[in-house]
Amino acid sequence: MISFLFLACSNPETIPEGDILGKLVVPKAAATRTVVSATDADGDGNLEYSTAEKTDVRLLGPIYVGAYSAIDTISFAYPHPSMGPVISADSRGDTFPYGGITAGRLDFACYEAVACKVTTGRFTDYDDIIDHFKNNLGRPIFDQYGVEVTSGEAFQQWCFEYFDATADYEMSFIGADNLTFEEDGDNYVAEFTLNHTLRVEGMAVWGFMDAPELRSDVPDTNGNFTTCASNGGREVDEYVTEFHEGRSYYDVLNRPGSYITYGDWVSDGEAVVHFDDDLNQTEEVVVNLNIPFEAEE
Amino acid sequence: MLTTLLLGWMAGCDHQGQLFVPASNPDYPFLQDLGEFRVIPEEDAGTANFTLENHPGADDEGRSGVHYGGLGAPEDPAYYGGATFTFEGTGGDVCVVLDVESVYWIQAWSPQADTSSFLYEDNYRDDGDIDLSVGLTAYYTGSPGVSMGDFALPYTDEAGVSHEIEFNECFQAGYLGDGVHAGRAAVEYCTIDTFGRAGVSLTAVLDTFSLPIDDSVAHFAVGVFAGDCTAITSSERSLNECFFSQEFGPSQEGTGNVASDCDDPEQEWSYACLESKYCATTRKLNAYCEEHFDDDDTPCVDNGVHEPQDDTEENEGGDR
Repeated sequence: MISFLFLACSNPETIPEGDILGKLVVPKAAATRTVVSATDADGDGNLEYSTAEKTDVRLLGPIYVGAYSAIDTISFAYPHPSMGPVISADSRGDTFPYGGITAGRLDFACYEAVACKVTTGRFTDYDDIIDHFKNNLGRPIFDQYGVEVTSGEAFQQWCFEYFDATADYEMSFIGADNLTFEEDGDNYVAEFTLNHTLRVEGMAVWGFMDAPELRSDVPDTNGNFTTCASNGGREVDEYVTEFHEGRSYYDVLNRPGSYITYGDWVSDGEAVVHFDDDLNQTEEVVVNLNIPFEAEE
Repeated sequence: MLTTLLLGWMAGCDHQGQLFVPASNPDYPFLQDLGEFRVIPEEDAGTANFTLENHPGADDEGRSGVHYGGLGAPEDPAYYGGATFTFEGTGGDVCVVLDVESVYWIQAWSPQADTSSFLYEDNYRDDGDIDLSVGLTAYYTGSPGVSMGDFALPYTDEAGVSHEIEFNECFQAGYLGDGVHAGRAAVEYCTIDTFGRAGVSLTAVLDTFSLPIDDSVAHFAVGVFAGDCTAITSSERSLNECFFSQEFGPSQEGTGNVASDCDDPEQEWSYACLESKYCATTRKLNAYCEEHFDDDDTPCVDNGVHEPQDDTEENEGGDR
């Protein structure tokens, strides 16, 4: 409420761009998956896998939220932002977003083994990440020497070495104070701000969650995100170590339909933003990611 | 203090940059409409590099084949220069190729490693740069031969907000992805998919990005070929600086576009002969450098591997 009082006084020159405040609602069902746990009970190096259904906020991947001119309910199996002309047969039309943000973003967590597989705002500490990879994805983390990372202390020390850092607050992928979501009944909810966004009366706010790949038959690819460019980001080339840290593709908000795959959750497209004559937002916009995309790959 | 100020003042007046502003040349237009081109079919394209003497010409309808030409500077440097031409879609892929004089190498380690590498002296003053774009003629905003334009048009979304869309279809991949142009006279090419657009007019736009400062004219060769850009290559021909040869114009030092005898010592290191050596498929420029690396007139700069010595028979590298 207080923030809206501020907004009411914040646009004396009616500048067309400004911040849009909103709330993201993600059903816990989106974080309920059949997880894979890997164990090596006899210590012979051969992993054994077991599965179980589990609800865990760490199973929520990066959520991309954008402001768009309108919603297209015809062209896709789910509500999708309206597109401009399709110019190339190999590419979808550009949605021309007015602005956007992520609720949790892809980040690099020190080891090549977890490149393109870690989202910010999901993990409290290093042990939380180790546990997630081993007991949710069935992929224990191995370091560059092929040794399994089993302690948060070892993880921390390598991160300090890798990033020339000295404190945990420099690691954007962990932190009990940095968690994106709070529980609210059957949902996880998060506040978001679309910074410096073109404000157009009646514009739609839409988003989707890129769920991590999670298969019990081929755990080798578990944790991958389709929005991550594995050959992008900083290139590391030291001695025999050579890899990319990964990054999000640049056009995820422009062509989201190119990245939405089986298991992702999409918003219903009903979130609309209204403004008064001075372009002050009149009410918080609520984006519900309540549509699971279950079409076969 | 006074001396320092005077020296600083003198240095400040020493450089006006006029050298880098090309002068206009009445023999070369800065704006040109090249008319209509034909799409050169595979049977006319052959497999060897194209030369000024041997390239597909115009057809019976007067549509150009491979075109060799040159673009100059306007009298007022504030104007954009370039050329345009049109061609019709075939209903399949076509490949548009443009090569501008005349960079073959930069002064760096030779990419044609043999037993050793050489530095080749480079004349940076003879390189021009022309950028290639292709799109539907209906979308082209310029007036051919009068003013240059582009393929950017406004699109209004469902909320009434206007956006600019680029309808250029000539996507060239660079280190960081699509949407780049080759720099400094390197060859430019792209595949255009004309599916469903047989007989529809497309326009190719050649924007003059920079002119060589030795003569203010960017010579070039350009052509449109049937098939995608991998289909027009062969074991003898790649999409590189040699795809179109002798595109450097008559003003280059030496014998002009064509050398009559590259074994003639007078012509041996002329520009035309240098290109023919660089583009040879069986005997590369490095082989010549091996033989003549300590000659005074060669462009081959020894990388330090060889001790200076005479070109005695035992020191000749020959073919390897």
